[in-house]
Amino acid sequence: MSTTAAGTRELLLVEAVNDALHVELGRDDSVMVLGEDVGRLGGVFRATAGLRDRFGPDRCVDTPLSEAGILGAAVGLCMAGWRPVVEMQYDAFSYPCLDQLITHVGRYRWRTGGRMGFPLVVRMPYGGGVRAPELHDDSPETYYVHTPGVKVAVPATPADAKGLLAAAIRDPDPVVVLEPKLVYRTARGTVPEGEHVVELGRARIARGGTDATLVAWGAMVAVCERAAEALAGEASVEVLDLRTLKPLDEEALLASVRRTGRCVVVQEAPRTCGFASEIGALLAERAILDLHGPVLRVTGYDVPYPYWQLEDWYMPSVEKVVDAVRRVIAF
Amino acid sequence: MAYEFRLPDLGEGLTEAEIARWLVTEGAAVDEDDPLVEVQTDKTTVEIPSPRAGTVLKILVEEGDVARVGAVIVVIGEAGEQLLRAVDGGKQAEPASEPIVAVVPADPAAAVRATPAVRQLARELGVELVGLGGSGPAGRIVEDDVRAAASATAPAADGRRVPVRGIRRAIVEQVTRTHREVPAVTFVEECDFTGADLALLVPLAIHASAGALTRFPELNARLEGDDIVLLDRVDVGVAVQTDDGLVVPVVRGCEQRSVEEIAVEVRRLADGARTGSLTAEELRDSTFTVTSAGKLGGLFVTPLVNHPEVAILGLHRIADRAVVRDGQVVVRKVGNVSVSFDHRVVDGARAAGFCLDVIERLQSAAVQPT
Amino acid sequence: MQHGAVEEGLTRVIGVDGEPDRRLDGLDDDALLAIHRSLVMLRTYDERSVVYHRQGRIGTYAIYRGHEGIQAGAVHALDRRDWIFPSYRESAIGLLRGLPAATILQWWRGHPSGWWSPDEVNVASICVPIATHVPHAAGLAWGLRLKGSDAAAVVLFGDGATSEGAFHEGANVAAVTKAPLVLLCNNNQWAISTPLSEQTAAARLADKAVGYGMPAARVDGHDVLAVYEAVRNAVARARAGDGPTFVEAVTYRSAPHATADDPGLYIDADRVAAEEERDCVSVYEDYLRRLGLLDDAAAETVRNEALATMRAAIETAENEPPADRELVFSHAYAEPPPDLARDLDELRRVHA
Repeated sequence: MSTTAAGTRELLLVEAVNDALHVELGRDDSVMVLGEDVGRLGGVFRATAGLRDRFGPDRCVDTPLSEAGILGAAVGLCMAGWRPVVEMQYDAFSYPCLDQLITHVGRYRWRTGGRMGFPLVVRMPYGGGVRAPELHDDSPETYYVHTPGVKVAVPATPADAKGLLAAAIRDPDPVVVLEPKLVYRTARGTVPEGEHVVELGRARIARGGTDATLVAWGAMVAVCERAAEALAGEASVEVLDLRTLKPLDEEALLASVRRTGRCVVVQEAPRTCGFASEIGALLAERAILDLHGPVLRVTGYDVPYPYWQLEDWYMPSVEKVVDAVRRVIAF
Repeated sequence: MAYEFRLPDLGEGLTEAEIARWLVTEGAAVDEDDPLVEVQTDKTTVEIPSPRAGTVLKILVEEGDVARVGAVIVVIGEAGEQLLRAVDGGKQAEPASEPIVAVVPADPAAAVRATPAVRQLARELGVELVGLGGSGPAGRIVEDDVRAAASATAPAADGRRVPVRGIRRAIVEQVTRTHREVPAVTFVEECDFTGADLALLVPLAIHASAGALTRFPELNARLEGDDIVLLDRVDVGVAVQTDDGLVVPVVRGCEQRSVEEIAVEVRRLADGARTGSLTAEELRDSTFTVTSAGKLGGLFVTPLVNHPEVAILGLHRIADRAVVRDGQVVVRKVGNVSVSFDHRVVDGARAAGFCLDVIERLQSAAVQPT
Repeated sequence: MQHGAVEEGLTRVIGVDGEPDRRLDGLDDDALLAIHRSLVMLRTYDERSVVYHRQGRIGTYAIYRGHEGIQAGAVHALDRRDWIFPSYRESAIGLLRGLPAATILQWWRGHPSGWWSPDEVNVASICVPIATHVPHAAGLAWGLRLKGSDAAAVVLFGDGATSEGAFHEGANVAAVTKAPLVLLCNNNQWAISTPLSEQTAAARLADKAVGYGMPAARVDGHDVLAVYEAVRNAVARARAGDGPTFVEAVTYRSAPHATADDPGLYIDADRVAAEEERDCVSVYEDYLRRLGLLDDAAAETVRNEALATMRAAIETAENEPPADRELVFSHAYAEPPPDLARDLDELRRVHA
C-alpha cells in the first residue's frame, strides 16, 4: 500500500473492506463482527484480518457453521444493544439464512411499531468469473432487494467498499452489502484514511456521456466502462454506478436517461425478475417520454450458474454490452 | 340500540354455514355469553355465545337455512325497540356483473409507429402523426420526420385552430364517404317559375319529386350489396343550413301529403334544425333529398348525393331572365333545377326524364296551384 | 395413544397418585398466591378469546388451555430484567409483565395496536414461524452476557419446533457461546395432528440436549411449581456463566391447536377427557387449598377480577378506531425511502 494524496491510501477492494471494519469497530464499541472463520483466520478472503487481535474474540467472533443461527442470533444481539456485522462466507451460503432475513430481519422493526431497531449488516463476497465451484458465484441481490425492510448496497470501487460498508454499519436499519469478489484483489483505488462514509442511496457517474446510459453495479461497472471505451469513436456512453440498489437513487437514474434517451442495464444475475427489470419498469413509468428506444438488459441467463469452463459465456461480456448499446442507438 | 350480529368466519376462510339450531327465540331475554345459536360448518358444529345482552328482536335466518359469513343472522336490542330499517336477512343480492373495462374504440393514432419521445416532440410541435410518412426502420416515424413536417407546414402558431367536433365531424365523415363511394353525375335544366308561390318553393319541389318518383322509382332506391332496393316510402330530406353546418331533417310519407301539409312540416323541421332541437329520428332514413340554397343558389350546383340515397334534387337561383317564348323575347322567372344521381343505379336518360318530369309538375303547379 | 416413556421420570412438586406435596424454598404465601393470580389471568384470557372468536370479535386464535402452568411457572422464576421469547402458543405471556390485555387482543384482531416494544417489557414479539425465535433468544442472551449483564432469557417452543433447523442452530449457538438461556420446551405431544412418535425417534426431547452439550431437566407440565423450580435452577446456572439448560415440560394438548382446528379427526378422546381431571389450574388450586391458602370465595374473587380485566380489554380494543392506512408504510424503515411517501400519496388519491 502506497500513500498518495494526504489522508488517502491505495488499497485493494478487500483491503478497503478490512479498513472500514477496523475504523468502525474502533469508533463504536457496540459494533461487532461474527461469522465463520472470521476471527483466527481473518476470513477466507482476509476481509476481517487483524480484528480479533485488536478487538478480542468477543468482538470478532468465530461462529459455528450455522448461517440461519448466526443471522438469527444477530437479531437477538440487536435486541441486546449490539450492532452486529455478519459475514456470509460466500454469496450462495447466505441462502440458508434467507428465512431469518425475510421472516424477521426485514419485519421486526415493523412488528414493534418502529420502537426497536435492528441495525445489523450482512456482508458477503458475491458474483462470478472467479473459476470457482458451483454456489461460489451467485449474484443474489434480487432476493434482498425484494425483502421489504432491508437495504442493499453493492460497491464497485475500493473507496466505495469502505464508504458503503461504513454507512451500512451506521444505518439504523438492516443492510446487506454485496462485495464483488471478482475484483477483491484486482480493483485498486484511492481510499480516504480514517472515517469515510458514502451515503446509501446515492449513485455515481463513473463515466460521463450523452448518447446512451449504461446502468450497472458491482463488478459489472468495470465491464461497462470497458464497453464505453470500446465505443468511444462511435458514441458517447455514460456509465452510472448505482452503488445502492435499495434505496435506489432514482433522481440520478432519471437525470441520466433524460440526457441520453437510451438505457442498457447490465447485471450478472439471471435475467427474469432481476434488478434490471426494476430499472426498466421504473424508466417506463417515469421517463417514457425521454426514451428513444427500449430499455435493454444484458444479464446472466435463466439457468444455474454453469461450471467455470463455461462461465465466460454466461457472464455479461464487453462484447454483449457493446452490442446492446449499438442496438439501442440504432433503434 | 339494536345490535346486528353477523355470522363470523369460524374457521379461516369459511364462506357460509348452516344454522343448525337456534337456542333462543324472538322476544327472549339473553345475557352476554348465553348460548345463542348452533352453527354447522363443513367441519363441525359450533355453539356461538351471545355477544350482547338484551332482547332478541329478530331472527333473520331459519334453522336449516344457509347463511353467508358477514350476513346478519339475529338482531339484539331493547325490548319493544323498533327496527328502523329493513335488515338484509342473509339473502345478499349478487352484484350485477358489470364489465370492468369499457371497450375503447380503436384509436387510429395508436397505429402510428413512433417512440414515446418522438410522439412527445410531435405534440409539442403540433405535427399530426396520422398519415405522416416515416423514414425510420420499417416505416417508423423518427425525429427528423417530425421536424421536417413542422417546418414544411404552417407552424401551429399561425392561424386559429378549430377542432373538428359535433356536426362538423359528422359532415366530414359523411361527405368523405360519399365522395369516395358514389360516382355522381348531374343533369341540369331550366324551369319557368313564373306565377309560382316561391315561398312554397321547397314544398312544391318535394311534392313534385314525390310525384315524379312514382314514374322513376330507381331514383328512390338504395344499393345494398348486389341488390338495388326500390323503396316504397318517399321520405324526403330537406337540406337546412344552420350555424353549425348543414342538417337534413326528413319529411315522412311525401307521396301521401299535399303541398300545404309538406309546407307545415318543412317549417317545423327547419325551425327545429336551427334551434338544434331535432331528434335523431327526424334526421335519418330519408330516401331522397331536396336541396335549395335559395338566393345564394348560384346558376347551378352539383350537390353531393346524400348517401345511401341515389339521387338529390337541387333548386338554384330564380331570377328574372330574358327568354324566348313563341319567337318573342320575354321576361320570365327562371331558375335551374338539377338532379345529381348515383350512376351505378341510375342511368342518365332516366335521370333526365325524372328531372324534366319534376320541372313539368312545377311549371303546371305554377299555373294551377293544387 | 399409549402414554409412553416421555411421561416417565418427570419431576413434580405438587403430589399426585399418593405422592406428598413439596413446598419450595423462597416462595412465601404471597408468592404462591401471585402465581395463582397469574394462572387464572392466563386461563381467563384464553377462555374469553375462544368465545370472542366464535362471536367474530377476534380472528383465528391459538388456544393454550392446559399450558398456563408452563407459562406462569417460567415467568415467576425470572426477574423483571430477564427476557422472554414466546411462540404463538404463549401469545398472552406478556400479561404477566404488565402488557395490557387489549394490546394482545389487538394482535389477534390484526390491528397495529397489537405492537409493543420488546424492550419495555423484556418480552419479544410473538413469533409465528416455528422455532425461528430460538436463534434470536440465543443471540440476545449471548449479547447480554457480552455486555457484562447477568440477565437471562427463556425461550418457549413446542415439541414440533425441535425438528426445525432453526431450533438446532439456535441451541447450538447458545451452547457454544455459553449464553444464559433457558430453552423451555412445552412438549404437549402434538404438532397439530402429528403425534410425538412421528415427530422424533428420540424417546424424550430432553435427550436432544446431550447433542449440544447442554444439561436437561424434565418436569410435569401440569405442575406450575415443578416448572418454576426447573426454570429457577436453570436461570441460576445461566447467571453463574454456566450456559444454557434445556427444560422439557410434558403435558398433553387437550384443546384444539387453534380455533380452526378439529382434533376429533386425530386425537384420543379418552385422553383428552382425562386431561381435564389434571388441569393445571385446578391442580394448583387444590394444592393451595391443602395449604389453607385458598377457599372458594377467594378463588371466585380472583376469577372475577380476571373476567373484569377481559371485559374492559375487549371494550377498549373494540372501541379503538380503525388503524390509519398510513401505518401500512410507517415503521418499515427508520428513514422511509422516498418511494413509500409516493405510494401513500397514490393510495390517498385513488381511495380518496
